[in-house]
Amino acid sequence: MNIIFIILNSLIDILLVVVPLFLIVAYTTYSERKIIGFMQSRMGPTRVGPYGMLQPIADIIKLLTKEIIIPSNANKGLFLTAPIIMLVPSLLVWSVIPLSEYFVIANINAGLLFILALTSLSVYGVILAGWASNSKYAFLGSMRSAAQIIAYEIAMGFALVGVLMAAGSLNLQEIIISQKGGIIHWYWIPLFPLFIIYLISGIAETNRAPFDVSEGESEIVAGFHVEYSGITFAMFFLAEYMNLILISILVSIMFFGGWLSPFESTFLEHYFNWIPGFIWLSIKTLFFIFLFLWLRATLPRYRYDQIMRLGWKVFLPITLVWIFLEGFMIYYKIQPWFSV
Amino acid sequence: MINFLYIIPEIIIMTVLSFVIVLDSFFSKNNKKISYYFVQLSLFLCSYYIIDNFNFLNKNTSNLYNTSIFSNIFKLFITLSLALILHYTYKFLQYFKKYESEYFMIALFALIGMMIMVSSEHLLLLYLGIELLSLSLYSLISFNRDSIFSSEAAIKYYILGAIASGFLLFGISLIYGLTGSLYYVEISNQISSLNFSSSEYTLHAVGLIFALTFILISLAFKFGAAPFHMWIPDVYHGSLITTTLLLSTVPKIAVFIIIIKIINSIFSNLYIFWADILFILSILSIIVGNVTAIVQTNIKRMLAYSTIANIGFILLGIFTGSIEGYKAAMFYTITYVLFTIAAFGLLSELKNGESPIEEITNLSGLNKQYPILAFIFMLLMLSFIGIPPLLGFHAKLFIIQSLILTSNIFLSIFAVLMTVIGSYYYLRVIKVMYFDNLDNKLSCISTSYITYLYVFLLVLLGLFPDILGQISYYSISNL
Amino acid sequence: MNAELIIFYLFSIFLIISSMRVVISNNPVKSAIYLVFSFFCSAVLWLLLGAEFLSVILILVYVGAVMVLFLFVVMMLDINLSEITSGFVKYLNEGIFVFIIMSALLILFFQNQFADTNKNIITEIIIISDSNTKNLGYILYTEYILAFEIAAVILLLGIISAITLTHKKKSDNKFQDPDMQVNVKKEDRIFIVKDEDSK
Repeated sequence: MNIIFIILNSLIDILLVVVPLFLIVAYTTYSERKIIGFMQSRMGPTRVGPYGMLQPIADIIKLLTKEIIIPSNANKGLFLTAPIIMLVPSLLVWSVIPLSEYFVIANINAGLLFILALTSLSVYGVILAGWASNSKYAFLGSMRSAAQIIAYEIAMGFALVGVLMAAGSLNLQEIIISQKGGIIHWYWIPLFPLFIIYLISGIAETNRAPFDVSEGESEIVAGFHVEYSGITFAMFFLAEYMNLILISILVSIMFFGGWLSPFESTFLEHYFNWIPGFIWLSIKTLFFIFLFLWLRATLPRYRYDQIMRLGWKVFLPITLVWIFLEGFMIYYKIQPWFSV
Repeated sequence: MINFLYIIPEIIIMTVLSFVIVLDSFFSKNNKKISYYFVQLSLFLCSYYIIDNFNFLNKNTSNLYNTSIFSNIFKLFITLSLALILHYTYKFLQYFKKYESEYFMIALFALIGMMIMVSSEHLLLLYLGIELLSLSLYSLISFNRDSIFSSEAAIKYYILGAIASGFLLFGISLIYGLTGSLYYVEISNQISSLNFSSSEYTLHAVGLIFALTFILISLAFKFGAAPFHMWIPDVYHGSLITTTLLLSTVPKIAVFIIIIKIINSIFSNLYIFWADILFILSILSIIVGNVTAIVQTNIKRMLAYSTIANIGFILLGIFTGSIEGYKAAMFYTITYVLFTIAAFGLLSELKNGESPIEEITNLSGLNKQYPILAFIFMLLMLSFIGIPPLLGFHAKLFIIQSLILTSNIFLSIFAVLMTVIGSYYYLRVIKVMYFDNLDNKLSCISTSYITYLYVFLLVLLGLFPDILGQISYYSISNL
Repeated sequence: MNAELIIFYLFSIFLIISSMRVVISNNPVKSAIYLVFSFFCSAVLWLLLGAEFLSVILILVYVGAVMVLFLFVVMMLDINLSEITSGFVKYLNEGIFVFIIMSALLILFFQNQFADTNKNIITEIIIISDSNTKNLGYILYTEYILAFEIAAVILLLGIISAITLTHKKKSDNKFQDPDMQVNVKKEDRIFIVKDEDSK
């Protein structure tokens, strides 16, 4: 009986995370079209429902009912597994994300490493999709994207090393707690270069503009998922937006105190006590999602060799130097971040 | 924990290396040779600190990394030999316009690997040392990228070397599973505490014998003993002559020391098992090396087979399992390395037309043009054969002596017979140099007084072999 | 039979099957993917042993980085499948011979050696925390600091030799220099030519 109870309990937990997540993804696409529309003096979707609010639902229904076309001479098994390989790690990562001080599906010790390991898996989806499609555009796109993901993963990993050095723990909940004490105690101040690098690498890792050479419409049609249609395409789409939300929430957790209130240990603390941690986390995350959409509307696409140069020759050295400096900061116990 | 005072030589090499790696990218193409001078400087600094280390030998308590007199002597020997080798390499690469500072950096990495191998008292450290050495050798072999032979040799050596490393790791993991430790001292304590008369004997011995076999196979490969010798001729042939010079000399000392250490300190109780293995290895190596060398026309291939034969002799010395035998093997190894450096170094200073020496016939008539060089090369060949009063004679004498002392009379007769067979191909080189017509394309890159001095010292050392004998005896007894 | 045991057997079977498919499969890309899967299975097995750090690192390094590059190379190469399969049959006898000997050896060995577990207990590990990661870090940075540093040196050597061997400067090699691109001036690109005819 006991074991059934545990399984049921965790199932409910999982549903509590996954169902809202899918909804958020759907409405992220809506808000992306709206926001970019407004930035470019357009209206965005308006037809389906009030203010076009039901547009994502219509999109989902359309994608679910469409036929899956498998190209001739494609490797059928891998062609169909690739979207699954892409989606599963991005879903799995959510199991260790602390959404509030009480709610996390699995509070494991090596949470940060777990996230790093799982995000590194998604590159397989890209490579296999490109290769199994038996199309040169898809293959080119997957090659570009994989090289880009590998290059930026290293800078990203080093940025996270900086965080774990500061927090002294791999557990995400402990990382948040170690930032306690208001907005100036958060790690974005002492780790400012790492924060910026993590943010930019996050965009590159999710293959979004201005780093979207893997999908560059004008050059290679749509990159690695050019041959996909219907539900298989929807899975890539889903994975991409989930990664986007994931990066935003990770930035909030690592550098902006997660579910902590920004007004701790100030005179305002008392007035904002009633707001639950989850709301603070959501506000921070939504801000970064908005930032990503903003960047997409503003910046032109990078050239491929410039992306590689930025990753290997600029970001990697900066992270290394900053980790070195951070070691000194920790050794000399610079207040208020490194008191322990 | 280990006291960092004792690894100052390694730290110096590593520091200079990191320095040179960064600095080299700022040098213009004409100034790259400054890196070479830095490398040489680091070698001499390193040898100074090794000599300095002799002062506080017995204060070291670490059982991870040992800095006994034994390892210090050999570190010094390896470092100075490498300095000489790199001198020849530099001149050779400079002349043939193949100079790249990375060559010397990788050679320094190899040096660190060898120093770790010599000093390690822990199987994991030993493995890391071997990997560091082999990785640098792989890239040195493939350094001559324009040559198809070079790539072939590198691939061959790399794949076989990876398999050999796999064997080594498998043996190490068996030992760890059996004894629960990777420290030499603890493993040998565990093994000697076994009761070899009870029924437990067979059970435990099975695992240990397998571990021993795997480790010895891997080391025999790295050493180049038959039947694991297949890579040697191709690799010697394919790489640049100075890479061959590096490859055939100093790494052999390091591997020899590992074999001695592992056999003497870990598996000393299992004499009956490893003696059999070494017996087969050495007999095969001597036969294969000496017989196959006769038909070779390429001088690098010929010297490769002669290396295999020499390794057979070294293993014969270890096979006896006595202090006398170890001493003889050590004496032989040092002699072999000293003379091989001279032989390949001398060959690297000659050229045939606009390319390095390849065939034995390239050397024809050397006497008419460069009588001193021909004479020196003849001395080296005579030493390889074992003609008194050269050092090679004493080396072979000690090995045969130790065989007789352990009453292996037939083996000693076999060794003498094989020496006679082997003398054929050395004498052929002398015949080509002295009695064949002059090959007009033969010329000399530079007349090196260092070679003259070096060979003169070797001859002098042959007149007083007791110096080297004392050193090897002293270091063996301080193992 | 508890849940852990079920997971263990499940992933062991997966591991064995996928490792065999690595060798048997005649499409090199599939082989590489099976290799990835077998790494994943062994990571799960390590997780069951309580070595969470090692298992995550296995995924991060081997699956996330090494095998990706491997797949890259395998996909780019045009590998002749018939050649591979012909070699497979040709060396099958030797392979089976080695397989039988090795497995007989291992069975003999493991049956005899690990019956007496008292000999195999390692007692000298200093445990400073219940977290596996912390213990491992402590051991690596104290007792085995030298080995750790040597591993770093090996990696440095790998980088240097790989770059030396591949970074071959050819005269017909085209590449852009970003510094020059950024610092370009109007005078470099625009030449004002006087029109001779208009005079």
